[in-house]
Amino acid sequence: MLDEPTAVLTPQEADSLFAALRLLAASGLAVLFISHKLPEVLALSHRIVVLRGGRKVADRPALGADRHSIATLMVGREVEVERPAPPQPGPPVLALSGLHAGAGRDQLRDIDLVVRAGEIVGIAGVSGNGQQTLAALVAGLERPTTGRFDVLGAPGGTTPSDMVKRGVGRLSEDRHRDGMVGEMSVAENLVMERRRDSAFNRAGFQRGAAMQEAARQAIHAFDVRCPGPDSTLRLLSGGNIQKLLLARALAGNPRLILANQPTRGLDIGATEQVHGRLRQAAAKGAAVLLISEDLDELFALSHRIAVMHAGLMTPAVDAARLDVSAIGLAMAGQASPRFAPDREVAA
Amino acid sequence: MIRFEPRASTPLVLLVIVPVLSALAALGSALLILALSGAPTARAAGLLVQGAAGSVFAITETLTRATPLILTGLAAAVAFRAKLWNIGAEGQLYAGALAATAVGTGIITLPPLLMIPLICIAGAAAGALALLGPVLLKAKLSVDEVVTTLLLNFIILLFVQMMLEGPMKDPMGMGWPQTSPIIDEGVLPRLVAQMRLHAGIVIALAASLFVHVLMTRTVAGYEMRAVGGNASAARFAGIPVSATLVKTALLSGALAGLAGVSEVAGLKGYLTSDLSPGFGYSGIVVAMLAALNPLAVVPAAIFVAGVFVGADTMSRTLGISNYFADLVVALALLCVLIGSLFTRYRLRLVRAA
Repeated sequence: MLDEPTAVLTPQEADSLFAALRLLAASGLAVLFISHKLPEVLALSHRIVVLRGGRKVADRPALGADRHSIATLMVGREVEVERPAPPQPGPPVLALSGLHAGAGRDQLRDIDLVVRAGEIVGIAGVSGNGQQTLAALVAGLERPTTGRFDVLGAPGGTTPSDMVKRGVGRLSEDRHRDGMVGEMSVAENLVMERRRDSAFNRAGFQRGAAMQEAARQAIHAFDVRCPGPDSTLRLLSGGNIQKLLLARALAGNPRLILANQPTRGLDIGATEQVHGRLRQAAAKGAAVLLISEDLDELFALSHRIAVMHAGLMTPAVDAARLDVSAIGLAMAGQASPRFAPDREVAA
Repeated sequence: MIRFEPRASTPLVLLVIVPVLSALAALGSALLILALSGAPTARAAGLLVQGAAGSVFAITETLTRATPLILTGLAAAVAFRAKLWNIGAEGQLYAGALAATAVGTGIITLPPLLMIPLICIAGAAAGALALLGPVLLKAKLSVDEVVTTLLLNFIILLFVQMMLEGPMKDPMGMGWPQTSPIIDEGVLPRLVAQMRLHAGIVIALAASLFVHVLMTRTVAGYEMRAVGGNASAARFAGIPVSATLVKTALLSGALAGLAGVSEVAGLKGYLTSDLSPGFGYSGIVVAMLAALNPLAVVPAAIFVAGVFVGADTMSRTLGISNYFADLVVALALLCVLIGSLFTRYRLRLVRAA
C-alpha cells in the first residue's frame, strides 16, 4: 500500500517506480496505490476506486476511464476543463536579473525572471532546489546578496509589511507553520496583514465590528466552512484555512501574487476554487508567480513555465512548448532544447 | 471507551466552574493527606478558612498578601502569552523596589499626588530595564531567556544586598542592612484603619484591568498574542516579532517592578533583602492558575494568598508546618491543569465497535 508515493519524485523517477510496481503486480502482488494525481492513477492501475467524503463512490476498471470522468466522481459534480486563457501580457511587475540570494542547499544562483501583469508564471522543480529562497525573497523575508530585484519598477521591499504595502499578495508554502495562528480566531487571522490600517485600527484600538464584517464577507465570498468569524482557526480543515489565506492575500487587490504550493494537500473541490481565484486575479491584471511541485497544476494554470534545479533556473518559456518529460529532465538538471529562450526578453 | 473531542467553543459557565472546582479539589486532597497523617482535619480546615477570611483582619491580610501576587502574576501572564518565558519577576521586583527606594527616601520631596506616581514610574522603569537585557539577547542572539532571567534574579538580589550594606544603608538603622524609610509623601495610604491593607491593591486591580484591555482590545496586545501563538506566521504576516517581544518584556518587567514598589512603599516602608518571600516565583503559579487571563489573575492571586495566610493561622494553632500552603498551591496547579482538559475538550462515551 503506497500513499502518494510520487509527491517528491521527478516524472522520470515516478516512471521507474511505476515500472517496478507493474513488475510486482505481474508477479502476483496486490498493490494499493493512493494518489490524487489522476494521470498516474490512470496510467498505473487496473482498477480504480474513488473515495469521497469517506465513502466509496466508484469502483471500475481503469480501461475506459478518463481524467474527466474520475475528476467528476471525486468532486461529485462537473469539473471545468482546465486551460489557461491566453494572456494579455502587460508591463513587468516582478523582475529579477543576475540575482543571487540565500545560502547553502536552497540558494539562488544567477536568476533571471520577469513576470508581467496578467500572466501566470509557473516554477517547477523538486522541493529544495531554491524555491524556498525565491518565495522568501518575494514574501519580503529574504534579501538578495547581489543582483536586481524589482517590484513594479522599483527595488523590492525588505520586510513582509513592505511587500504587502507594495501590493504583493503572498501565500506561504506551509499554511500551518507560516500561514496562520491556530489559537486565534478566523477574523483575527484574516486582518493580520492589515491590522494597522485605519479600517481596523483606531488610535491603537482594534475595530472589532469592522473585523467581524470583513471576516463575514471573506467567509461568504471564499465559501469557507466554519461556524463564524469568532471560530478558533485551529479547528478548521486545511482546505478552509487555505481559502482564508487566499482571502487574506487577495484582500488588497494585489498587483503581484506569490502562490507557493497553493493547493498542496487540498481536495479537488478546494483546489479548483484556488485555481479559479488565481486565474481570475491574473485576468484582472495581477502578475502571478506560481511555485508548485504538481505538474498538473503548473500546466493547468501557467502561461509560461521555468524549472529550478540546484539554485539555477531555466528561462521561463511558453507552456504550450513544454511537456511533462521536458520538465522532468530539467527538474533532474539536464538541459533541454525546449527551454531555449524564446521571444521573452528580460526587461 | 471515553474519547476526547476538541471543543469549538467553551461555555462561559464552564470557564468559571472548572477553576473553582479545581481549587476545591486541591484543598480536599491536601486535607486528605492531613487526615492520613493523623491531624485533626476538620479543625485544620476550619482554621485555614478562618485565618484566610474569617475576620476583617484576616481578609485584609489576605488582600495585602495578594497585592504583589496579582502584579507578578500579571507579569508572568503577559510574558507567557507571547511565549516569552520570564522567570525573573523576583529580580525585577527587587529592581523596582530598589529604584523606588532610591527616589523615595529623601532625594526628592514632592506632594503625595506627584511623589507616589514618581515612585511607581521609577520602580516600573527599573523592572522593565531588568528584563530588557535578556529579551534583547533572545531577539538578537536567540539566547534562552529562561536561563538569563532566572540567573539575573540572583545577580539583582546580590546587587541589592551590596547596596544595603553600602551606599544605601540607613545611617540611623543601628547597623542593620536596610535602607532609610520611604518619606511620608511617598508612602501608599492605608485603606482600612488599624489594618495593613494599602493602596497597592488599587494599583494591582487597575493593572489587571489595563492588561486585560490591552490584550483583548488593542493592536499591540493582538501582536503579542499573535507572536505567542505562532511567531513564524506572525513574521510572515508582517508583525515585527523582535520589537513585539521587547514591548512585551518592558510591560512584564514593569508589572513585576510595580510589585516591588507596592511592597516597599505600601507595606514595609524600607527596603531589606527579605522583602519578597518568592512573590516572583509564586506569580508564575498564579498566572498558570489563571490560565494566563489577566482578569482571572486577581482571584487566583487571592486564592494563593488566602492559602498562605490561612496556613499561617493553622500552623500557629495546631503545630502543622505551614509548608502545607505550598502543598495546597502545588495541588491546585495540578488540578487546574487537569481541569483545563475539560474546558478544551468534550468527553464522549463511545461504544467499542
